[in-house]
Amino acid sequence: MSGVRLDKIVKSYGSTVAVNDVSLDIKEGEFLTLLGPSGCGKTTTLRLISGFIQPTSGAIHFGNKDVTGIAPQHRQIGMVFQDYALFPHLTVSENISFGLVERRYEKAAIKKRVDELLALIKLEEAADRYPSEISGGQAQRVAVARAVAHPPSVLLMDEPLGALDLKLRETMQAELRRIQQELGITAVYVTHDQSEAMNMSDRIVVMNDGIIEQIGSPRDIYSNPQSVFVANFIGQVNVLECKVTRKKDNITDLDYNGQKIRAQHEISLRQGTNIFLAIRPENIKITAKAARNPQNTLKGVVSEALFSGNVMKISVELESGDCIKVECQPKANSFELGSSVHVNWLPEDCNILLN
Amino acid sequence: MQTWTEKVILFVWCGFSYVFLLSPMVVVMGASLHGGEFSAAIKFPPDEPSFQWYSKIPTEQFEALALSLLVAAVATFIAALIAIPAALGLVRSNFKLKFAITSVFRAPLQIPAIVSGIAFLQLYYLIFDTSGLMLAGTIPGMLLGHVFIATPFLFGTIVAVLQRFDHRLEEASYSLGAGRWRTLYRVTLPTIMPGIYSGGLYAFMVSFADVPMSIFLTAPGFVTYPVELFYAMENDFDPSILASSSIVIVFCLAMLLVVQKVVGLETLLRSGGGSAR
Repeated sequence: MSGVRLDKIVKSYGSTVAVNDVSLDIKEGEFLTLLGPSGCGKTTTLRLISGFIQPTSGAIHFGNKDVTGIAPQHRQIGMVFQDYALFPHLTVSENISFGLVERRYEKAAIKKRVDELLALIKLEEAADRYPSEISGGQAQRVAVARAVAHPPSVLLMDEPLGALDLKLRETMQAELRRIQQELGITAVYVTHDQSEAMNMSDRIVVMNDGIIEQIGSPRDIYSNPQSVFVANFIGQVNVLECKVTRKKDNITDLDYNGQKIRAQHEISLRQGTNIFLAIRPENIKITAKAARNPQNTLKGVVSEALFSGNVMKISVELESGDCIKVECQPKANSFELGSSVHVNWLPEDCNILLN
Repeated sequence: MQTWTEKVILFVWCGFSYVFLLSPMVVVMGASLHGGEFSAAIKFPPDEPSFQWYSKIPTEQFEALALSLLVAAVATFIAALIAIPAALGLVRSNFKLKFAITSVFRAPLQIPAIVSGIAFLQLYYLIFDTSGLMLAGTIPGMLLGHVFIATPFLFGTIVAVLQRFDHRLEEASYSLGAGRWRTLYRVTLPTIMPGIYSGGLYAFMVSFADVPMSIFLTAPGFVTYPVELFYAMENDFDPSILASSSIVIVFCLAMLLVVQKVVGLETLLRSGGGSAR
């Protein structure tokens, strides 16, 4: 087991650049997720780590070992594929022991390890079934057991839950996380599903157009997105275009459509800069009357109100014509369509994005 | 649910199909049991059924049958050795001449066997003229021709299976530490096995039943079974030909059942429908 380091990796196909100058330091035992829309380069990055494709330039290290140019069968990786890629002609236990046979384990050691893994994935009773005779969730667990049977330096997973239905997916997220932590294995996970990434990861790498947009813990990425892309991709967000009017310490005064907005932020900004202000829907309060101390308050009209169980999703059309999404408790808030309301939020809930 | 009329239509349709396909064999096998006076015409149903003609099958026919089985088995094996790597290489590569070479491998299907037979014979004479080596009427000469007509059947079915092959199976194998040869042996070949089996069965039958090409490559004392029967029919028909045909029919049916039992349904199901066609 070891960490993984990517050093200025570039992968291009002719004139298209799939992965552009990606550097990444994955810690030992960490669960790291590559997140992004399709075509962002996340799968290519994973395949570069696995060795199925080689980088155009740059280097890959497993621990202290440079593995650039080394074939996948010599890299000590574990790989879980999107639709499992279990060997159809082998039983569940033969699938799990495949790598052990290749690594020349003793017969008795193979049997012991397979039994151990069958217990870990709770599939003892399916040991002699063929892949066509087990369910999707079971196949998924077999694929993981097969990948970790001979402890790999790094476990690579390419959208492994994509083919499962929602409920099973959530169970499997917890299950995968449990197996990864029980084995203490370094894991790289690829997905386009942001909630999956949030649920499972120690750190998330948000990718777009072959570059890394942001790296951070799920909480960090959610509450401090550094670009409009990240803010939009991770959860819902309201983006307002503003101009900086005054900057003092960490307080920035902004002008939005003639109205003053105060934001608390660390970024140093010059007066007159155009920026984007991002606010999460759940951080916005909605009231019928203007608050007594009206800070960061905008007036608007309710244009849509959706009740979805635990939250009320309300769209407010502002005087500027922009629409603001608000999420609030259904109990305390019932607003008629067309009624005029005020929305406000705290300066510390403001995120300032430059692009 | 099927309605009553649908059931009747299905029953009648299937019934006719089976009668159409099976009656020639039933007639041959029935008439082989003819027990009465010798007659040059087929008698069906046989009068006074007996096995007398079975004991009168000339030994040449058994010798020919042995030769045919040997040639068909070896030709199928050699054809597999050619077709498997050819199919693997051609399906997975992407070079300019790919389609041209693919059609070369399929060409024997488009050439009438009688033309191939003449061509082989001419070739063998040519080789004889230049090197003194006579291939016509020898096992290698016969085999060469049979490999030629059998290979396309194996090639075609293996290509069909490979085109639906999930490449991630091989990637999974590499990720588990298996090299190229180990992956070929433990993953690729077992996965395409149903295609190899069914293609091999076709190839075997094509080789075993061939007359139009083999007839040019035989020599006195060196005749394949169908050619031997063909000569026998031409010269002096007697019911022993029916008897010997019946033996081969039973043998073929038994072989089909064994293949079906051993590799047929089971492998097809296991590979998730990765059958030949």
